[in-house]
Amino acid sequence: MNSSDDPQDDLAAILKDATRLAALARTGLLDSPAEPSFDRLARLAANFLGSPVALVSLVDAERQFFKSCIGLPEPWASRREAPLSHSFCKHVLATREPLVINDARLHPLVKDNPAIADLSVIAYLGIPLAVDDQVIGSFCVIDGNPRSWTDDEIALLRDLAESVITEIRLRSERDQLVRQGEELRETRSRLQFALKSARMGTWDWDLVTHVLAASDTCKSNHGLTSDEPFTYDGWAAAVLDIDRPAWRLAVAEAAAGNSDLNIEYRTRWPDGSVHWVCVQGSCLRDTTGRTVSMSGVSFNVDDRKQAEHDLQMLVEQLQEHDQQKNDFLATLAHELRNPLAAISNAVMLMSMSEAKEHRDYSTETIKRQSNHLSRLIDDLLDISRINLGKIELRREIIDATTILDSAAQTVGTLVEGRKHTLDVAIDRGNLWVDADPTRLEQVVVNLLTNAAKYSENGGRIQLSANREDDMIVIRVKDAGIGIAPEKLPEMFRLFNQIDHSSTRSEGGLGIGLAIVKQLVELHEGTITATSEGLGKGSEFTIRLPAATRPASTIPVPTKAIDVKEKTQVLVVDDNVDTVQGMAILLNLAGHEVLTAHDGPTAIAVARSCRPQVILLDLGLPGMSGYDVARHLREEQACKDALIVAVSGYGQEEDRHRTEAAGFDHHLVKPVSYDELFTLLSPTRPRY
Amino acid sequence: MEPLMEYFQRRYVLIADDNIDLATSLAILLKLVGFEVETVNNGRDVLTAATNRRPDVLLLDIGLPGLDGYQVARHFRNDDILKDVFIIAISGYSADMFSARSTPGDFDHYFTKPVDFNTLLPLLGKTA
Repeated sequence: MNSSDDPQDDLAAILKDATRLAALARTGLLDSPAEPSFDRLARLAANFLGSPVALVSLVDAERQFFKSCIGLPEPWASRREAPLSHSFCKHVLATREPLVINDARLHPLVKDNPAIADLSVIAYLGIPLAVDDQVIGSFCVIDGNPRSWTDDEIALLRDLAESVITEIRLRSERDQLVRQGEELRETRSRLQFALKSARMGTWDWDLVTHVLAASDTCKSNHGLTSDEPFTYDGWAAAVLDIDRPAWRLAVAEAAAGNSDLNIEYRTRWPDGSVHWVCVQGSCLRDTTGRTVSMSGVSFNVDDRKQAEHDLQMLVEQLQEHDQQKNDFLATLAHELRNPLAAISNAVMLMSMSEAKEHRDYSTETIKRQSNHLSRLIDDLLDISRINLGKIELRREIIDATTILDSAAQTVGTLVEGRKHTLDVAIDRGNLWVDADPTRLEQVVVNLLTNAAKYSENGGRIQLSANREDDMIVIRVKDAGIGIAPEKLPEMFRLFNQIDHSSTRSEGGLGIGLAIVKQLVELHEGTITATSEGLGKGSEFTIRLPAATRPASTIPVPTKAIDVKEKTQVLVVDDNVDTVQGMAILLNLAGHEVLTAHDGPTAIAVARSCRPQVILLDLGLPGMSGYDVARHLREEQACKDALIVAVSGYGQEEDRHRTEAAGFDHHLVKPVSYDELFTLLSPTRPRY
Repeated sequence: MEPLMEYFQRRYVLIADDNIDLATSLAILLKLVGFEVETVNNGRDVLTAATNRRPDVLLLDIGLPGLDGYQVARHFRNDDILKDVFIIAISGYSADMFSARSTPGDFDHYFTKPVDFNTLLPLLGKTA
């Protein structure tokens, strides 16, 4: 039973029931034009039952719509609908049973219905029309006179109502088919679009007849044109030999129904080019479970394979770089420990022995090994500057003769120590280049040092230079261990020397030649290495663009400042050891030394003692060296003092900064005492 | 120092390192405490020197030119006269790298540079 005992309440709910209204809407009949199939059934009902009016009446929430109305008077016939107030049909919705009314004026359900007067409805026989278990309306006949509906008449109308329902169902099924067809067409065209834009081919292989049908794209994936046939054998032939066994196995497994097909292989096209194809497919089975056909897609994966390859190469490259970096760090530790070990031995010796020879030996060793450490750090900084592209050349038009002489002198000790002979054959005075003298000397020293290191003791090293056309050509040749041909191309690569297969024979970071090459190239020059092979010596050739010899060389005037032989020097550094060391050395050289460990003290001392020279550390705590210098320049007392910056940084921009702050000179730690003493001499240079 | 010197007297140490300063300074130090010391700077010279006079202790740099320290130690261990020489490896490389690459038994001890003389001396004492 429903929640209410009043059937009218139930009816109101049923009329508005969403499921029922949805079922009604699905029929697609509301407001559709009259159709012969429905009219024929209505006319049949009217004729057989002898009624003037027959209706296919569909009841929605507000009205009844007549899909068919035979014998209905105007204006109702044209409107093809009536308000629910006039509806008899709505009552079958609640009962779901035929509504049999012999005389409406006497029937309790409809005796007050305005249709009695307005439409002369006296007798009514209505059969519910149910679709998907929902009553959507009624098939009814109407008479203007009282009737006594017989069971036969009711049965007849019931049968006809069944035909109306069948008609409704057919119609909705037809609509559905049309819709599905449209959807299918749409899906297919979407699929075609997808296949086309993914450049995806399709194929279909009949496993019974062995006929293979392939789309044009599938053929073109295998290097075939659309009018060429694509057979199983042709497919197999297109697969590269190396990939064919795997391909056959995968296809056989898939054809047997063991797994889906999913394989990538290379094909060779008629033009000889090789391309990657990915093929995926699966089997269809008949009712007995036997595989009868296989179909799937094919697409070109050249781009992905290329990307995978590139990625792999990148990974390997990164791994190699990482390995090189680790090797480099190990080598660096090794290279730093050697001089450190020598220094610590020398220090130990000084603490154990007072003998002069031991003192001298230790001092020499510490000096030499400290220089060596400084050079290592210079090399490291050069490499980092080269990597950052931050090397600045201080070029000038200069005769390379002086540079080469100086380089030969620099390596003198090493050459003598190894009992080599160094032959110098240079075209003196005709080697004008636009070069940074310091950097060019560094290059030549590096090559000469290598020649000395990689020759058996007592070897012969040749340094030659001359002009060839527009180039100045510098050659360094030795008869040493030589270079294996396969190593020649790598000679100038960073860390070339680091080779884990053997222990290192000669010291060094393996970065010297990389620096040399970069420096030469910064001078718009080239460097090449040749060797007849291992044990047959090697030759390095530098070519630099020749410069025009200047008309006359103008001597650079140096600003002479009157400084007495004995100078009063103020040393400022927060490192007490540094200050003490400097003070002792300056004292030994006959200077008078004042010291300070911070900025304010330095200013106070300078104010009271007026030193001629101030050696000022830049990295003072609190008040920096820059601040102190600026302060001192403002002080009347120290206006003419020589203020020298002492810094761990010695690059171009660092020097610019100290110059701007009012410093007269810039020394880099560890301070070269030769340089310092030159500064303190009367003819010292200034910025 | 005196008793120590007697203790080390006539014990012969061969130092092999291609850093001449390092080899020489160590040699001077060891002579100061009474050892007899020779220095060589490459792998081949180690073998020659050791054949001329069998050292009691070999202080052997690993990164020697010619024959490297690993090869030199191998030679010693395969030689009837030199096989029991006390060999101390000295290297700038890390101990990890050394133990990964050296054959067990070839070396009696390993030091990373710089070697603390005060650690080296007691070890040399034990070899007496």
